[in-house]
Amino acid sequence: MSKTKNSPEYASFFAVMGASSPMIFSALGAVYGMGKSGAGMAAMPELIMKSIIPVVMAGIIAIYSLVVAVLIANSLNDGISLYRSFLQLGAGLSIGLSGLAAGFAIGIVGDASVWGTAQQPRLFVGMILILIFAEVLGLYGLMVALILSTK
Amino acid sequence: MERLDKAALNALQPPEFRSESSLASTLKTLLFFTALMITVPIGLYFTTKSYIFEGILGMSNRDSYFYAAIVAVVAVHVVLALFVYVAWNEGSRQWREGKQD
Repeated sequence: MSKTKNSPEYASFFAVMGASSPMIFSALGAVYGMGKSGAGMAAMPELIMKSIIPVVMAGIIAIYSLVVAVLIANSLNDGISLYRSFLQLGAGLSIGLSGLAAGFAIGIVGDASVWGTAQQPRLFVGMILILIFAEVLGLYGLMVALILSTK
Repeated sequence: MERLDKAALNALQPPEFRSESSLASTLKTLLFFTALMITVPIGLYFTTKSYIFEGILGMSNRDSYFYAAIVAVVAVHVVLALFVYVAWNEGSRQWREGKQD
């Protein structure tokens, strides 16, 4: 049983890299965001729920990349063509690196905002708004990854 | 000025001087939201993919993953909005209690 493969042998390398790079890069970004902004809990130990909001938002970045990684990993097969594997690599890098960027932003903003909210509670609304803007960056990467991956 | 001093004193007190029940209820809420955030988006992702998009609507594998990803993103935002709402109400109740003291 011979199968004519018109794709080179190394084609699946790019697709598998595209399947693992969402988790690799977004894990870096999400963990940086959680670590940097979670330290702000030391500023207001009695309002724990408010100081955990940046941590939750950084975790959402990791959920986006998990969704994309599952999507890409399920479209891998042995004789994948070079074109499709480049598409998967592009999709994975798109959500991975934008998740990294969003995680960095969430970490820096969350850290400063939680320390500031301990002094001035009215800063809470501004913190939520900026965190939402930072997380929408990850959402844009998710949209591009979905478009590329299902092309 | 006095409210900041009271808040600073409150933060400096060891945990057993603050009410144990408030810590326990905060922990319970946090555990609830952790479990919700872990199970709901990913669970909805896979169940809507297999039961709704492939089962009822009969889409192909790739299309159903795409629409299930949209469902997962919406579920994530619903859980996040609920968490922000609960965190908002936690803060305002405690600051009101501080003023009445």
